[in-house]
Amino acid sequence: MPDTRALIAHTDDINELLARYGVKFGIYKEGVFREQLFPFDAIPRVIEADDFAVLEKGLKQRVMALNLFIADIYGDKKIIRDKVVPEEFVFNSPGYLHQCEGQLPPKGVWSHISGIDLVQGKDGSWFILEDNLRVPSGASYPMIARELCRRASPRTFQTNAVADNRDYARLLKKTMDHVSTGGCNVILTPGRYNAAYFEHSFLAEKTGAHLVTGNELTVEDGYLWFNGYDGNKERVGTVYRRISDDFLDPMAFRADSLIGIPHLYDVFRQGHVALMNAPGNGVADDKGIYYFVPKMIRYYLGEEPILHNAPTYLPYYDEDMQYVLDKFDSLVLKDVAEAGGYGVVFGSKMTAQQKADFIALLKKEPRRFIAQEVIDFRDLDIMDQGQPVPRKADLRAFVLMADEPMVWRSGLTRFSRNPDSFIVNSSQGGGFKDTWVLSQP
Amino acid sequence: MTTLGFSFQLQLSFSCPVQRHAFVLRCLPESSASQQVERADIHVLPRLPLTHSSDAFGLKQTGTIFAPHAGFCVQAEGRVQVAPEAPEPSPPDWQLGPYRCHTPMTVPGEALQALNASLKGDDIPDSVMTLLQDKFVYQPGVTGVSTTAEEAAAAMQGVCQDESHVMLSLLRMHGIPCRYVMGYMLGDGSTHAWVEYARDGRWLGLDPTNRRAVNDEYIRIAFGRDANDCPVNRGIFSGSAWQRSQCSAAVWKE
Amino acid sequence: MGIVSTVNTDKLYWLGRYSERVYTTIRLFGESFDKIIDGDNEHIRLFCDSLDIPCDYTNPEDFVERYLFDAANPDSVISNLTRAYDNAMTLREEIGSECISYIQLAIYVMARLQGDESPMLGLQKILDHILSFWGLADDMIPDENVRNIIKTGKRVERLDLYARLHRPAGDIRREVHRLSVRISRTNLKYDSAHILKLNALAESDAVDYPAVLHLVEQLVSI
Repeated sequence: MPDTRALIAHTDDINELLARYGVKFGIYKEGVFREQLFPFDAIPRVIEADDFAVLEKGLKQRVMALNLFIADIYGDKKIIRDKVVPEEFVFNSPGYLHQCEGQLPPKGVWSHISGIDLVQGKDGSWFILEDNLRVPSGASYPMIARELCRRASPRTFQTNAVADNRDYARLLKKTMDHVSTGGCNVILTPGRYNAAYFEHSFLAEKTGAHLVTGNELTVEDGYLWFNGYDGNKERVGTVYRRISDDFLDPMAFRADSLIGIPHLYDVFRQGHVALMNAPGNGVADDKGIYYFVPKMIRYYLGEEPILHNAPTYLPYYDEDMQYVLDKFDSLVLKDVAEAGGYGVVFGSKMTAQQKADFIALLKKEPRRFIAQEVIDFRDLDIMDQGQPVPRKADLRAFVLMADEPMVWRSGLTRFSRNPDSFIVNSSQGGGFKDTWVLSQP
Repeated sequence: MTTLGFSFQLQLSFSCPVQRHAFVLRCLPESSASQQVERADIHVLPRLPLTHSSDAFGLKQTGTIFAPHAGFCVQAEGRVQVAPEAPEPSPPDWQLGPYRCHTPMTVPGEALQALNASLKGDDIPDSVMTLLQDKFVYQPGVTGVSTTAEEAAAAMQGVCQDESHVMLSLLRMHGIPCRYVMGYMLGDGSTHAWVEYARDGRWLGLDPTNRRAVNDEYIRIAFGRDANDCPVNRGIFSGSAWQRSQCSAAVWKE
Repeated sequence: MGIVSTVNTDKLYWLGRYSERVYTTIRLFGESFDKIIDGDNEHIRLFCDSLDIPCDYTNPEDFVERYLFDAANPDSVISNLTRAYDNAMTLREEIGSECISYIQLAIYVMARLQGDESPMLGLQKILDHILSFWGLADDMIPDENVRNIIKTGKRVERLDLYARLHRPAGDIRREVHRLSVRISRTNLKYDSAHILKLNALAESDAVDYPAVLHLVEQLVSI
């Protein structure tokens, strides 16, 4: 293990610097918006070069297959013809948007930025927990944390060969430029009362994109324009949108959206602007579809999946339902429609009554749930009052798609604050770590 | 082969001027196997150039009026040769999933389950037509644009949109791919709605409201999984105005 | 660089105005606070009158507490600083994380200061942070227009405050001059006739303060 003692000694300094730069996320509590600091633990997650090489290959493979899947679903639907994925898992998914049928995004890229969540088992093997293909967030935190860690403890980075992760902005800009239809890049934010506003503004600063809200853009003459104060306007080539599909364009999606841009979707369909990620991607990151990703990899790429899913059961299949009922107490059950750590329940933690109610619901709506084995996580140490203590942690890896997939040599490692909690989502009070990918074996 | 003329008018009045008014209109037919469009024109007031395009739901005309205006008027007219004997080919069965799955508008509840249980006969579309003919009462004013199939089935009354939704829901409960169609019909003073279902590689039209198969008196404008996919007009504007809208359509044989 | 949206133009201008308002009112507060130490509570009223803000403070403690720290009081230092912060944090891509960090630091100082019996010590740090912010903005913002919009906001606010305070003609003259030069280097829409009139008013040794105030408030509307 690399020597990180000098770095850890500066934990408070680094957190102070993070506060200075306003590294925060917003949460709504009882309807009131509040900004919170994102607690940083200085002990890095360290991934050895050879371990990362496997991850990198596996992540590229997975994202390639997911892109092919989305293109297929809104196109020929061969995967349904060949009965690899049942159609009710696709077209009933809230992420499936019928408007996107026949859509051809610039350069054929659907998921430009994919946030793939993984956990590591006790034996060191990686499992995919979920794929985030809509508006995955979090890259900015390790990016700025690394900058500040280097400031706080330069020695640490002299003695350890850590891949520099501050090139995320370069990868992101390359991804935007690759699909651009000509014109400037903008990052479209719902506004400062969004949980990830810091990230939106930070990525805009680092990539040189304009940070905009919907009312600063207009559609005229079939193109999208960024409007300046003095009447000048500039054509927009790429919109890195951080608002969800539903709110993107009130003419095409939710009619009551006030943060979208009317007719934006038409401009995209005409090939006159790139939207990243492409609308309709949600069909591939549904928790129900997750089960089928290894099958997609075999189907589209003719390869064996390099990275494994957590063992997952679909109560939709009778055989799996039987297994879930038999092993209920050892499984975690997830509602496919929920996100952010919500809608997740552990069989072992239910009362008899809760269990009976849940099983009744499961039998009534089998498609709504997936069941997974509880993985024996490899815990990561965090510093708690000067002592290392183990906590559950996951890793969000980022894969960016330009002319080929690029895996960012870092990632967001989140940990749960509560020693009993398995849920590492920042909206539920966790913290984060830097993720080191060692550049030499 | 029959030649039909059509005209369509939409008039929106705002209680006070609005601006940045973006709209999507679906009021012109598109040529297909069963209808050949000879002429189709559209004009709007205030005048502005319209963008013509098509999407998953048919043809559309879009635009944005940036300047303040208190009214919006659309006039369309044209001539179409209709040939219901040559129905439009449907995509292969595996591509019809979107039309087989329920949407929030067609998800069945108890009322639809009960209706489904009362269907008689082997030919499902036929049985649904018979059932609606016997039980569904055409009654304007009791339902709205957001009434679901389940709500309409519970009341067993409503207008063409509701009856079409009930039919879509029942067909989908049997795994039959089907879609909502919005268009014009001879003898109807406004837009009309009916249903198409896919069988043997063709889209077949049924008009549950008029208890008949679609014949040479129909012009198809747009289609979707339910009415929400293809409204004749969708708009958004800045300004705290309320709007009144009047819509009329006419079809005649030429 | 280049195009700046209307929203951001407005924010840059008001960031300049609010940062100046915090800076100058803290200095004025310091002067009055010094006199209040000796028990002359009349200076609370004089202070409020000079800034044209309501004076409902009952005693020196109440004045210090509410004028500095009451977020519900729209004229308080914390309210003005919060407005500066609200504008700054949405301008990261225009002015940069380094610049914003000084406004953020001022916010943290303000939060720690509440209830402190030596407020002037902490307020000095806030002044330091604002001065750093201005210095850095001048030094690091590459886009001349962006930089000058902030400075125009600052100059407008300064002149506005000086006119309210009936500062000597020399002060007014200097501020009018600085504003005239600054605003001409922006793409802000303004009436150049107003600038000419301001310059004419500033020439007089008996300054017509209400007229200056009126003109400066009318000068920029984004």
